[in-house]
Amino acid sequence: MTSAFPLKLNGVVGVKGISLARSYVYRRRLEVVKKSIDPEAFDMELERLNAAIELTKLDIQNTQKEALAKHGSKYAAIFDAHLLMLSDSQFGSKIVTRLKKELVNVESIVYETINLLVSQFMQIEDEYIRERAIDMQDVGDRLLRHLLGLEGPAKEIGNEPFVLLSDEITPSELLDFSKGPIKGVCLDSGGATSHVAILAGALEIPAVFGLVNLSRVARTGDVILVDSRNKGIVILSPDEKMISEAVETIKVSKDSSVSTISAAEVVTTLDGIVPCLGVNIARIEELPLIQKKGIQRIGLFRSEFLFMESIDLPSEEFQEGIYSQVVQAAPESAVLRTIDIGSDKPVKYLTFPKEANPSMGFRSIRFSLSRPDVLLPQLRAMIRASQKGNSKIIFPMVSMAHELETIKSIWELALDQVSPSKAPEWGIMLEVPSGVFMMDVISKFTRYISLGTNDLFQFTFGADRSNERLSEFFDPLTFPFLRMLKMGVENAHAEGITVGICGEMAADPASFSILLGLGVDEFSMRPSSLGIIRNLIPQINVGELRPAIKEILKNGERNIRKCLESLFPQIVYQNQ
Amino acid sequence: MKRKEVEIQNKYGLHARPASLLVKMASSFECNIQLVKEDLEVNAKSILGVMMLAAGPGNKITIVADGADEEQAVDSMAALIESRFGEESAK
Repeated sequence: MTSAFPLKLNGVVGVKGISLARSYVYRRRLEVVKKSIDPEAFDMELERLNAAIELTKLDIQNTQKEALAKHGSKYAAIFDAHLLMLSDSQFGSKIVTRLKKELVNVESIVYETINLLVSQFMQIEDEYIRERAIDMQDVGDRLLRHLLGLEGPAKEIGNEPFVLLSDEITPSELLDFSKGPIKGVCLDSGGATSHVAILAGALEIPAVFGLVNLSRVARTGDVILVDSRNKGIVILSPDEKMISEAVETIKVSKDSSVSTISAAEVVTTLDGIVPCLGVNIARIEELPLIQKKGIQRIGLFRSEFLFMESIDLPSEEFQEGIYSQVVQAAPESAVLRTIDIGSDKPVKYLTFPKEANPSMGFRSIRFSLSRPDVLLPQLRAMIRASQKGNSKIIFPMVSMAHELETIKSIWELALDQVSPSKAPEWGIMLEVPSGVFMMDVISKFTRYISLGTNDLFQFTFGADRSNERLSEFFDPLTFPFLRMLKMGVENAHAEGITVGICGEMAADPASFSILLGLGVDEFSMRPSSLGIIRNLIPQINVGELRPAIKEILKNGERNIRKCLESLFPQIVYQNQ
Repeated sequence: MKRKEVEIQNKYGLHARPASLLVKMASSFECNIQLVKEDLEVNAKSILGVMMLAAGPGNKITIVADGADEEQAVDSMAALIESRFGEESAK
């Protein structure tokens, strides 16, 4: 009999890298089978239910304690609601009544009861209350896990390194898993999960999406190889040859990525240019790593994770504490970005209507400007934090002139309320093509833009970057996009605007060379890519590169990577 | 039996946090307490019930208490609702 294994699958690259470990298959939906029980077993089932309720209560109380310490009493109060749900007469006693009458295993009754309650909540017209279905589901899942003898998502795994396989996961689930030795993420879905990709990138976890039904085929314990260095390849149950090759590659890539030179040391191109390099981060847990590497600049701090990980709006003081740590960790400069939240990146305590096109929807600055009660405290916290170092504050997704006016007035209000001894500079992220054509207007408000190439790219081509069927669109090294970047940089410089970049693109050696040649002033990337880029810089001669890029773009070359390789063979473009 | 009509004034209505405050308070009384909104009537001591009521800002609900401490129950619950649960106003 021939085996179907090793099974090779192609998905979409979420985060580049390579890893080999055992699979851990995580099913978000708990599966419960209904079985009848003997009448004598009733007491035992009841006892199981009571024990599970007690354990769930303890769980919730512990989470509540954590929340209380981290966010204060207002934020911990939501768990009071969870505790009340658990002890609610409509819940517990209903389950007992049904158990007595139907004589089936108690988890099946709990399962059905929760589903019924959740679906009742989902029918409520009031959006805010309808959202509470999540709370009911949360309490129900905890209870079911105890009944089924499963622990929390992350606790089932132990200390052995693992690759997480699932149909889809939420950012908070990924965070929970990242407390353990997670080596990779493989998801069946590829839609609407780009936030998971960013988070996985921040955590330096290789990730492949759009793997159709991998999580149904694989079983926990199966060996799995994730190779997303170039393409999103996943091999389930690789043979010995594949394993030994992978082990060798992992060893080599570890050696080359560990740069012995501190990032604080200056790197210069062949013609004496010193590119300004920084890193993108999303969580303060990344700060120790950055300090260890000697990194001086944070080119982008994504504040939305702080909001996504909280159970209620984080308080102004709490935010200030976080931002202060970020500012203090980056002696040269830290760029703090206001939240990019919307129906594509949901948070539990804010409700967003369902949208047909969430990435082009009511998100990011559009949301923030509609909620000064959220934006103002964030700005005040950022302004206060910036007193402790050198920082800029940027607003994401600005696409219209009137937004600049509104930002200016809210900014002035925030400054007025804080009255700091030094006012930090503010800038915008340019991630919608309209910005390229309004640099003259932008320059009346700010002299700093940061190119968000991930969104700019998908809006330029009208190609949703979370759609796995559009993967052929996703090479930023195509001439129409580079022509647009060129125009953006030139227009900005003509108005005296400094141009930074903080998209994934800056981390790709070939793209980096081109961006440097196009005159981008500041680069920010994943911390894990900084070593590769620093190794590349001493091999580049910008003076030679500039005319070559001009020529390539003028000719509308189809394979830009190849052109660069043949023109500059000394530059290593392959090592990503 | 004692009844009183009150208007929900806090920003998001009887969502999880205010609902749990209300249920905790209701549970501290001996008497039976029902909350009525239009044709919906729920037990004020059940958080699921109170949340199912889906009372948003501007909605009027009636507190109906029946038992020894009904006076005190209705007055305290009405006061809690009218204090907007310590949250900001919807307006």
